[in-house]
Amino acid sequence: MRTVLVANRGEIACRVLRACREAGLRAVAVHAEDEVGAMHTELADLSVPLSGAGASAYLDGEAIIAAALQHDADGIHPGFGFLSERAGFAQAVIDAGLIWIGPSPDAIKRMGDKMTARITMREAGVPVIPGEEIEVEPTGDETADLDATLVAVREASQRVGFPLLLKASAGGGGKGMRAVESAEGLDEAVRGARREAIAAFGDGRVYLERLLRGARHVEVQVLADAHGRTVHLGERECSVQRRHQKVFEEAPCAVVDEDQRQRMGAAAIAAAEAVDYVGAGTVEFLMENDGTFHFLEMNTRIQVEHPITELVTGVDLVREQLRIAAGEPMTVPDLAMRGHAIEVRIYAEDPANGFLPSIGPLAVFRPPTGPGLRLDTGVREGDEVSPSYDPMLAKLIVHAPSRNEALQRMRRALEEFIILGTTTNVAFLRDLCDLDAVVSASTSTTTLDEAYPNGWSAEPATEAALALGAVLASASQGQTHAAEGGPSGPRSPFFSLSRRYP
Amino acid sequence: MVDVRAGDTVHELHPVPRGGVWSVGDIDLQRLPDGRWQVRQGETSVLAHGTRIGDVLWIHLDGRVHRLEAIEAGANSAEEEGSFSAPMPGGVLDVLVSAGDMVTAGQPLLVLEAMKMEHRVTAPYDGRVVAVYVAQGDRVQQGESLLEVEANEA
Repeated sequence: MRTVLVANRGEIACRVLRACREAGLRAVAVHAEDEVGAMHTELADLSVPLSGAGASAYLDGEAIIAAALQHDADGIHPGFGFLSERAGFAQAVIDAGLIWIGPSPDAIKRMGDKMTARITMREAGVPVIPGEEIEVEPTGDETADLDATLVAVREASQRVGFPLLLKASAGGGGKGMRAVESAEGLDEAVRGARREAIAAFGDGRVYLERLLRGARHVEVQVLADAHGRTVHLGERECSVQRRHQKVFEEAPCAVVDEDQRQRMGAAAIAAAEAVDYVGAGTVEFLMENDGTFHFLEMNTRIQVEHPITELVTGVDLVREQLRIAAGEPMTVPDLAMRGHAIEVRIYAEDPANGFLPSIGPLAVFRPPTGPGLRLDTGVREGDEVSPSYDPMLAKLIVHAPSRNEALQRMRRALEEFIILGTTTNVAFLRDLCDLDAVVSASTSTTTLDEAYPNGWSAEPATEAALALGAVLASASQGQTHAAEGGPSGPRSPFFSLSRRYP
Repeated sequence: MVDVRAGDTVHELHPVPRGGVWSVGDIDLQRLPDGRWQVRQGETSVLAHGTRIGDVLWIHLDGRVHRLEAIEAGANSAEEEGSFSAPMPGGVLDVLVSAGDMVTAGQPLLVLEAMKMEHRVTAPYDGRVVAVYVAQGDRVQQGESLLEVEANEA
C-alpha cells in the first residue's frame, strides 16, 4: 500500500491524513464543492473535488472509488460516519481492486444488523441485554406485517418485562428506538418505531430489550490483524450522553478493576472473533452497578473517542489500521494502561437553547496549549461553520497521571479555549467538569437529564464583561472584526433563536 | 450612553474614553497592541478577548465566553415588530397556524428542520397571527421572515 484516499472530511480526515504522512504514505483527500480549501484538503498530497455540496458529496461511493483509481490510490480509509459502515461500499472498494481499510463487508453486515448481532453474540457466549428478537416473515404488505409484529411484541413483552426498549434492527443513533414504560404504550411505540425505521432504513424489523436504568456505557477497543491476533486495548467510559450523543468520554473507567477489565476484554475479543473481525473496532457494553455487563453493539470503524485509548495505551490506532490493512502484523505490546485520559467534544451548538446547532464565523479560534493536551480538529481561525455538516468542531483531549488531575487539566484547558463568532458548548463542558456525578465518577447514561432537568443556562455576564461589551459597542467600526474582512453579513441567528424558541 | 443586552436583560452603560483607556464605572479597559484588552477593576486585572460581529459582542474573559448584543438607539428589535425570522437555513416541515388564528404563549406555530433536527417555533406571547409567509415544504434562508404575530393589547 503506497497511496491512501481518505473518504471523509473535518477532524477525522485530518487525523487519518496525518497518520498517512507519518506512515510515509501518499495521501489523497476529497472535498465537496463548498469545502474548497478546508483544513483536511491541505494535509493531503492532493485533494480531489467531488460534485455537489454538503454531506451528499461524501456519500457518493462511486465518485470516491473513481477518484481513488484515477489518482493511483491503492487503499481507501473511510474514517467514521459517511460510508464507513456500509457493507456495500466496502465490497465495491474491494471489487475495484482497492484495499478497504476496515473490517470485511461480512463483518460490517453481521454487526450492522442489530438482531443478527445479538444472535451471533449469544452463540459466541457474549452476554446480551435480556430481550427478544421479533421474527416476523415479511409479506410485503405493511398492514399485515405490522399486525403480526404487534401480536409478537405483545407476547414477547410479557417475558421481557417493563420498562423496555423497542429498537429497530437496522437502527442506530436513537432512530427507530422507543422506551416503553408499560403495556399501555406498547402498540403506539411499535407503530412509531416501525414507521421511523422503514423511513430511515427501509427495514421495519424490531427487537425488545429490558431497559437498564442507571447503567454505564462502557466500551472496549479491539484490534485484530490478518495474522490471527486479536487484542483488546482496555475500556472507555462514555456514559455522559445527550440524546444518545456522547459528550464526555474517559479512559479507563473509574469503577473497572483489572479483573473486570480482563473479563470485558475477553468478551470483546470473543465478539470480534465471532465475525472474523480484522482492523480496529469497538464493542459497546452496558454495565450495571454490580459489574454485570451486556453487549450493546459493535462499531465496525474507528471511533470519535479513540484518542483517549491512544493516550492511555500508547498505541496509535489509526497507524495500526494502516499496518493491518497492508497485511502486516500489528505492533501492539501487552496491554499497559498509564494514567487517565478525558475527551470532550466541542460542538457548534447553543447549550442554553436546547443545544440547537449554531453557525457563524470562527472569528477567534485559539485552542489551549501546554502539558498533557491534544486537540483533534478540522477547523482553523477564520473558517465558517456551515449548517451542511456535523456540528462537531474539535475534540479536546487531556492526559494526566490520575483522574483528578485529568479533570483539573480539562478545566484549565476549557478555560483557555477561546472561540468567538460562533456559539459553542465550551462553557457547558466546563460546568460538566464540576458536576457531582462527574467528579465522583458515578455517571450513568441518564446523568445529564438528571443534572439539567430544565436545561442548562450560562452564568450571567459579569460587570467586567458588560463593561468590555459597552466599549466594543462604542468603539468605531474600524476596530471591529467585521471591518477586517470578517463576515458582516447576516445577523447572528442566536438572538433570534433565544427570542423565538423559548 | 450605550445599551447592551445580556440574555433577557438590557443594561444601560456609560463608557468614557480617556486617552488610550476607557472607563465604565470603576472598571478601566485598555486595548493592547495585540488586540486583547486589559480589564482592571480595583485590585484585579484580567486579559480579555473581544470582537464585534454585526450587533453581537463576543467576549472571552476570565475563562468564560459571553455573547452580548449592542442595541442601537432608536432601532426596533424584530421582536417588537412581531415578525419571526428563520434562525438558520432549513426546510419548513409543518405550518400549524394560518392567518387570523388566535394563539397563546408557548403554542407551536411551525416546525423547521435544520441540520437533521426538528425545531419548533412557538408563540412568545398571546396574540393573533397576522400573516404566514411560508408553506410546508419550503426551503428558507437564514433571516427570512416566517410569519407575523400581533400581541394582544395588554
